[in-house]
Amino acid sequence: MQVTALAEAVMGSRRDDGAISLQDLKVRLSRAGLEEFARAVASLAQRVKVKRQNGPVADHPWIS
Amino acid sequence: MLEPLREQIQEVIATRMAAPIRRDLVKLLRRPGYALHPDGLCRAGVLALHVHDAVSRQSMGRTALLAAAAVEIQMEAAFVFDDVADAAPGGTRGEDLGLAIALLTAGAAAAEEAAADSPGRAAALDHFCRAYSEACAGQFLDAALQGRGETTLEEALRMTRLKSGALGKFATGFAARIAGADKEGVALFERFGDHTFTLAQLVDDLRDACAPGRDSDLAQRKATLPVVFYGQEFDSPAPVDGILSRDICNSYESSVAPLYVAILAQAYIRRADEDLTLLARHGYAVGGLVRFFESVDSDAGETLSAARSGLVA
Repeated sequence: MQVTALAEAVMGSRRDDGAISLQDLKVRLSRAGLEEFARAVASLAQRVKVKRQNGPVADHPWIS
Repeated sequence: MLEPLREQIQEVIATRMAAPIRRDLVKLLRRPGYALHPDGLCRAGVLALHVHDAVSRQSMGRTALLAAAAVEIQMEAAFVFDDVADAAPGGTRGEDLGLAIALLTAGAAAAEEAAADSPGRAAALDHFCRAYSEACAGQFLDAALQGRGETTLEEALRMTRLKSGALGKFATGFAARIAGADKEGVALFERFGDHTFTLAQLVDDLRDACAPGRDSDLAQRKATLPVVFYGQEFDSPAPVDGILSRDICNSYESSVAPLYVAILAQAYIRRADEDLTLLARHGYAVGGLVRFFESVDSDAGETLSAARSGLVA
């Protein structure tokens, strides 16, 4: 997984106001051959906003 | 599913551990977040049960429960190590370390009994040791990178995959072998465990990254991906006294570090989803695994939604 290339694409997509352009990021990732991340960005943008109904999770859901 | 698993864990402790330590082990596992606490999630054990069920299509038998108890007990030992490693310097946690060693022994005993009647006994036990040692390597790397500083993003991801992805691979690979999955099936179950636990760890790291005070990963200069990315975006992101101010937290939250890690987590969601599709095509009964994955995905929802707030059309 090319995590440095992803970091460069994310930083490069940052606008003057600090926001990240979804379209710009997807294009940068596709051009860099990082299709898996381009698809992940699209999926992330489509996620339904979820609000947790339960209380806090237990201390050890995973390794901290 | 949780109650029979908890009963099996208690039986292993009662029958395999020395009398002077039994009560303390049960007491430890009843702490918040641990397996015998009413809110304990027992993720590794439950995942192992679903894998066994997907392969054998049988309701929980003693072998499946023993295999699940074995991997859950090993995971609990990792939690103890984690607690001791994160404890404030100067604390006295030697007793907990003694209990962690005992838990590793209990897990190995349960694994041996679970594998006794399995056709792939040797392969299952070999995997049990090798895959868990990868998770141990991840725990070691976690501590080493935190002390060293200047971690790269590649190193942070490698550590995350070793310490958590390897635990997922450990649980699924052991249960699949015990249940008699073929070689291709075992590889698919291991991929699913690796991807699901790595995803969950990334989400956990996002949650723990930043909070005012001294408890967050950023304050402790941990080598998790959100902290490492933020550290590369800004010089000297955390104060040397280890106490995080509200200003630094605001700076972190307005940075692109959360979005970066959320994209990685989403990539792992897609990978795990593809693994489930392949497992179903291979003929495994993946209903339980789908529900397990949906609960992990749902748990990640709020964190990932918050992390994408800087994303505009």
